Amino acid sequence: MNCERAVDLIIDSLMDRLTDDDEAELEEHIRSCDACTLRRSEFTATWSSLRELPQPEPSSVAAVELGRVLGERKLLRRYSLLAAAAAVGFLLIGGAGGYGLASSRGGSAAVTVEDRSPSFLLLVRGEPELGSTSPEQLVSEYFAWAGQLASQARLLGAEKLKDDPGRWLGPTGRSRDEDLQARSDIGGYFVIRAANYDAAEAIAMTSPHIKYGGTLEIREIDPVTQ
Amino acid sequence: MNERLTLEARIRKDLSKPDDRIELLHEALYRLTPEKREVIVLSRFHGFSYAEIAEVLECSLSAVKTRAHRAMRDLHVALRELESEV
Repeated sequence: MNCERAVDLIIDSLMDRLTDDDEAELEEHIRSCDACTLRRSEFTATWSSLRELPQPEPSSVAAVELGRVLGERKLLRRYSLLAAAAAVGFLLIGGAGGYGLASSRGGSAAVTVEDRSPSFLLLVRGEPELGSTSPEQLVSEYFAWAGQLASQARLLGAEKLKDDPGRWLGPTGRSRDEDLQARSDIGGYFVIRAANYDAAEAIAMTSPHIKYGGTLEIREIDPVTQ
Repeated sequence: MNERLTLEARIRKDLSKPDDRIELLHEALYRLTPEKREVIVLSRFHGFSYAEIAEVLECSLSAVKTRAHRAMRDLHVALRELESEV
């Protein structure tokens, strides 16, 4: 084995996995090659240091595609239903969060929305009625939807809430009013950027949640500045 | 024998550099072409295998491998360059 091939295998061992044969061959080469012993330690150190960086964004094209694949394929098992929408939000916002950094370093993210645009909270209310649509299909649509928003730098946040009644609190502590708790129908939220209420509404109306009969409550966020 | 010692010293030095290394690594990552950075991001930050990356990027497994090999080599070259600039 030459050193070129050894480096390929070192990289494969970090990014994927080696067959037993390849691994044996690599070990044999490394035992007899100081340069590759050093290279392996360098690549391994770099690989583990990468973990400490803020999570960079995949390109917006890959993000949308990533969403589609995650939604449709076996990778689904890593994510549960609506959590997937939130997950893709997180994944893409990883990009938004790292934005300043990314673009100041020549990142490729295309910012098409003014940072000063107002932001809106979309409260996901009620259960979507899936009918003959599979949950996988819904997830896939959520991904595509969130991915598109993210690619336009409109997606600021997204989370799914747990399917429990939560806790309602007042001056006397926790409320035991079950009617009150039964009223809780918020399943999750998105935070998006849009020019105004009408623009936010237009975006919200394209969401899979609306398409499948759910309700979205839109509230403009009033930023508090000190 | 001496060479071996130097080698081990270099390895230790490499592994022990703390925060600057992270900064430089970040810089190095953004010196890569977006296509190469993509492969590293999907693998390291999303835990995707080559096969899964191929699926996401809609390209062949061998294309992913080639890109991964080049990406990691480029990352190292960029890191070396940055380290020598410091």
